[in-house]
Amino acid sequence: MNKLEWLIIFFFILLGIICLTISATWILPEMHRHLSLTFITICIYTFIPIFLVASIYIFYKVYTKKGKQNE
Amino acid sequence: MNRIDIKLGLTILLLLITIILPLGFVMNQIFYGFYVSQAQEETHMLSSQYASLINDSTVENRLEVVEVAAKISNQKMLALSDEGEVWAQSNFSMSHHDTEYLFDLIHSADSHHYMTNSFEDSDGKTYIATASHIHVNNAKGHVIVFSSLESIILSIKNVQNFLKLSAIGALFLGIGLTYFISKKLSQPLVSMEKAARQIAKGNYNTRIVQKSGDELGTLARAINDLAFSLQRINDQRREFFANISHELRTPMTYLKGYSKVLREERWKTEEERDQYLEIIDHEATKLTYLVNDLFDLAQMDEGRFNLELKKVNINEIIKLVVKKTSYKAQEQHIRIEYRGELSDKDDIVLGDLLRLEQIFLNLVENAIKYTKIGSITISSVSGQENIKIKISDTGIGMKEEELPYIFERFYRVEKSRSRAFGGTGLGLSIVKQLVELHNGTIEVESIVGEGTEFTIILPKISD
Repeated sequence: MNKLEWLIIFFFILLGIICLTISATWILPEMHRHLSLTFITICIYTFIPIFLVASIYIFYKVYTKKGKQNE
Repeated sequence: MNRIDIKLGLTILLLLITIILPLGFVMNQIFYGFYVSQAQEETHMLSSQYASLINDSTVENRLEVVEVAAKISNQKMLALSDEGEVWAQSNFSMSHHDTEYLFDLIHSADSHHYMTNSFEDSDGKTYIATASHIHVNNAKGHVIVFSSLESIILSIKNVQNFLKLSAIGALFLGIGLTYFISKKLSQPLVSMEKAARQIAKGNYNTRIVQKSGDELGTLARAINDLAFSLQRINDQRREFFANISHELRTPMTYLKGYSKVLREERWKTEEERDQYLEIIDHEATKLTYLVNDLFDLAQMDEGRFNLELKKVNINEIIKLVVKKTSYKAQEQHIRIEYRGELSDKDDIVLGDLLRLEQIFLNLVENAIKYTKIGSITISSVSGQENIKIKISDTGIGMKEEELPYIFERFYRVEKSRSRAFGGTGLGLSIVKQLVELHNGTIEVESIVGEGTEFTIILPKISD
């Protein structure tokens, strides 16, 4: 993938998280005070599955590599 | 549009929208239900409080007290007798038609507190209405508390807007991640498609870098193997045409040249003429061998190669081959030794006598060709079901990585060997096919500088 494609992906993800942040904080009183924390929380929730899958994948790779080395 | 990444991306997006839309509807219903049930609870609590205040009190003007309390708390309330008389009402003006409609609702509710979620008065306003039983001076009636549905609908609309915004946000997030996933998933396929096109164009050096161990990795490795095979076949084909044209051109040049000399009678002595005739005969024989080899292979390819099968004594064939090749070996000062352990009676195979002789003759002649000093040993051992024949030499040998390819047509271990030692590059290929036609196997072991050993195993027949 080239730089433009990475930029498009980043743009859409950022736009999505901003929309979710606004919809989650708009109804709260003094929304500007909650914006940053809500934004970070949504980011964490979004990337939890990715981190989880990546961790399992890396663990699996290391485990199989060690197994092969032992053989 | 007709691209795998777009199709994959659109499919994932469709899946995402299919989940978001019903989820949005369900969430909307949950919020609506939550607000309405809360309003129902509140109105029921109030109507119960008003009813207990009226029923439990002995004060004469208790209905006025309740009416004032409802007015102060800005609560829409109505107290009706079962005969239709309005006892008390606050913040509410009701037409005769509204009252009749309310009576109908009370009767259809069948003594249940919650009368309706959508009582619409003559002004067009919608209310949640909850009723409780009351007794005033031995007369029965109901106290009805109303809660406006408009405020709930307004709140729901607000929530709906935020739900829509969050759905759009989720969709954008989904588009971003889908773009990444579809690109990553389709990338190997796209690169394989490009590589396949390059291979189809004849760029056999094209290779795909795909390290994964899944089906995509296997497919990439299969394409790489295919490209490698095609490259080898292409190289062999080129080499074959070069060899064949060379092999044909050389004797043809001799034949043309010497026949011209003879036709123009440019020979000086009878001896010279005989020498020219001998050369013509030798080159014609070479040509015949080459054409015969090619013809045999073509027949084997087409499956039309017929063997004249009969009971054959391997021992006799090997002895005959040794006899035929010993003169040639002596010329090169090489010793041929046969260590036969076969009996003429029991060790019989079902085969074509001439073709079996061709197999051993070819291998022994090859051994003589590539051995400068030393000896050639032929040994035969009889097993329970097979006969094992080994032909080993002390020749120049071959590298281990060359061995899998030596039975392929026109394969040359080294390009220089074909020039130095001659041959068409078809001999071993014919040998292997002939052995397999006799239901046998042939294997080779070789060490560079030490020699080569061919092992043939043929099935034995019992009398």
